[in-house]
Amino acid sequence: MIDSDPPRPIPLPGTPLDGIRVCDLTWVLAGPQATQILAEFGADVIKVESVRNVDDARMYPPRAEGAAPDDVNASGYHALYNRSKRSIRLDVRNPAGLDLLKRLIAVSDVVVENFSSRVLENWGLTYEEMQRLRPDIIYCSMAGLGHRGRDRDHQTFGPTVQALSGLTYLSGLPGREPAGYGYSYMDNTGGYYAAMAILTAIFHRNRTGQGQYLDLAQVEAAINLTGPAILEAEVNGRPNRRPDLPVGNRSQAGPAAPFGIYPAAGDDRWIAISVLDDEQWLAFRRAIGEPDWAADLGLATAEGRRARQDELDARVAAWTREHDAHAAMHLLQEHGVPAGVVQDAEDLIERDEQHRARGFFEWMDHPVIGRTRYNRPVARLSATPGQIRGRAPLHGEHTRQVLGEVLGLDGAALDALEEQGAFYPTSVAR
Amino acid sequence: MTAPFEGVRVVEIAGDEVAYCGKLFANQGADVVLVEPPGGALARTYGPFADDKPDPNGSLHTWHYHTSKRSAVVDITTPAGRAVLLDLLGSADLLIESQGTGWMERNELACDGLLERFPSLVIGSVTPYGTTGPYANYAATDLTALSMGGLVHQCGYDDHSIPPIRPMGYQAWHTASHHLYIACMLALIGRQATGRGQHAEISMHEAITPTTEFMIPMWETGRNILQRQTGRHAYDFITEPAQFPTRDGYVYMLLKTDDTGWNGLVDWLREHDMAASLEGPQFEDRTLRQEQSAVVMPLMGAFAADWSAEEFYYKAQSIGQPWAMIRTPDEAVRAPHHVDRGFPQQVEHPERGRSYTYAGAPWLASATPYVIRRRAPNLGEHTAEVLTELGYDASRQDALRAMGVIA
Repeated sequence: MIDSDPPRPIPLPGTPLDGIRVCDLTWVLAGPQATQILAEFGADVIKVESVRNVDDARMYPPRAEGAAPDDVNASGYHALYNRSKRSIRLDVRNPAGLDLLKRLIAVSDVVVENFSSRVLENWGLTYEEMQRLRPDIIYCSMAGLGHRGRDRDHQTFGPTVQALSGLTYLSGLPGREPAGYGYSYMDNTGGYYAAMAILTAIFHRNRTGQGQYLDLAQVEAAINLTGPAILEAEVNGRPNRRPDLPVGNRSQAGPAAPFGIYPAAGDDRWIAISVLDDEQWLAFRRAIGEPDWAADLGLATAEGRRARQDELDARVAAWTREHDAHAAMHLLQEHGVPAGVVQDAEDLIERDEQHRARGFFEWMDHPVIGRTRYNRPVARLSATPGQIRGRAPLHGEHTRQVLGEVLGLDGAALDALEEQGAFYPTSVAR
Repeated sequence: MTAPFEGVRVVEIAGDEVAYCGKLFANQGADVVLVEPPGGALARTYGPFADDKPDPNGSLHTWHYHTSKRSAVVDITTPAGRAVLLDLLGSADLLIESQGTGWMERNELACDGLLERFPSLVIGSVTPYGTTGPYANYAATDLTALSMGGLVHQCGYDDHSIPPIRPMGYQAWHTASHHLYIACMLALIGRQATGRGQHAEISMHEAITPTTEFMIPMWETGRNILQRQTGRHAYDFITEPAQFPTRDGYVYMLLKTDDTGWNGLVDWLREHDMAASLEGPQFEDRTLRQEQSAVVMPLMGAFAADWSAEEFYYKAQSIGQPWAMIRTPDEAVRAPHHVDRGFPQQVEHPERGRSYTYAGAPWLASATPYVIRRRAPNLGEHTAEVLTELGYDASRQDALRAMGVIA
């Protein structure tokens, strides 16, 4: 039985998106990342969920301790990216369920989805149909390759979006296979782009009354993040596929050296150091105690240091290896040298003094996952701050609440719809 | 089609972390005035350069990040230059800056004061670590910021004697700019209702830390630290390789074991008389096939070696396997699919008598076009134009120029 009064997201009156309703058909990460941002600045985000094709992220690791493998409410990953939203369960293959989805779209400002490119079309939910339901609707699709173009039917996911855009190619040591990104950077970032596109469209609708169709191809957003490499090939006629590109951890812009990631004391601990100019070189020498080798006049200029980068890197590594990564960073920063530890999750969540001082992580309870920490919204607005509005919803827990509130359906009407299987037959409910 | 920011003026105090945000506004119709110090923004010294010749107007980095903007050289560290900036802000909707903790205050441009004077102004600021806390004055580069924020720890090779690898392309600055754009849009939408501006702040460190997919929940729920692995997800255990060399490059594969994908794969191998190794009861259903991935993937990897990456990618997609080739940026921007979508845009460079292909709209909007209207401005190209619009006559401009306040 679906609880009829589950917790509501904390109201945020006066925030920029208060009063905006989002019909959220997204899953996995890219889409939920976008709607989380909208939710935490005031939008009422209603996540429409399937039972047959459960959001993959609900099954992803990490899992709550002792949770059954098929528990749809036990993923820490899902909980992070879906907080502050409400969840309803609709069977869109059931005519009564599809009808409810259309009625929800008719009272929504934004529809967003990140399915592959023909799914909504197959449900009969083209942009034209949505416009018929709600003339000023803002519809954002975010398939990896978009909804138009000859490769629109290709299936993509984070790593292949990165592969097809050039991002993967640009990560690695020269002359070696790509190292790429060790995660779906373009899922988080694709979500940022959908939020950017939707916010721009809301701004435009407020000025003109006009909605629109936003066809986001995550690969194209990603190509924009490689711009100077494209121009280097275009303007200088030097293709990107060549042995000296990418440049590993060295400077992308010019002769700055030393510039790299160096081993620190301990197992697999590293520190990034960037010496940008001659002044910082002098500061670096002072910080490491003015060793004789660094007084070499040949190293006094950026060009001189660049010409001897390999030698310099070995010298710097010999110093960093003797030091704790955080202690070395503090010492270098005190001397004005940009340095940063290669921090892992434990460093960031348990030890990072900056995140702690600014209260970046917040504890929150979840009935299955328990008490864990979540990062607060990144944008800090002085007059209309956003906030985490509540834990991620259990699968479908707001079905009756939302349909009652938003579509004005009473208990008897909801019972009848449940009987018709609009929220899936109870036999498939988990 | 109307540009979404038609009539919107943005003042951008030149800085690495805000440049991309300003570009997105400019290419969507905003009048973005890039305020540069005498001698030019530091980014004008960033390579690569056109024809490999270092020149303030030849930085390809600057070409990409400052499309459609106007450049005005104003020394805002002087009282006379500040007066010009304040006049400019009187006509602006949005100010974006990344001067660093305390800089605006030291130069009599504290946000509180600016908002008092211009109550409808939206101010967007990026600092490396935020303006409060023990690291508020720490310096950062793209490399150190990506390292501190948690992105770099997940990237690199199976061989851990090699350091973690920072992905190229200034992703720290991009991530700051993405969040800055979101923050500024929220403030601009709020202003449509209230008429009032506000200060929107981004800590680059806080922007990067959650841009890490599994990292936060794997620690919070599982107390797991992810280990970097060549070309695939960092994870708490070692996974199968996913990236394989072809004749001319690399492909990325992740086995899809549903019937469509699997049967497609078997048929494909049958065409090459290699299907025998994928037949038998051990491949009966999805779960069993998944368990065999340590057998299947190396087989497919060896198979890929004789193909071109592009042919392999298209063939795999046609049979229901979601694999991809690893394209370079210059290959990606020209790929026929993106040309179909009108993604690459031609930008005229009158001095060079030709146009060049640039990456175009990051999303296709049916009502609000994204158009690169002109190449990045030369240093100070619009100083006189902007000051004239503000009512500075020729003699006042000459005097300011003689004082070195504008150029």
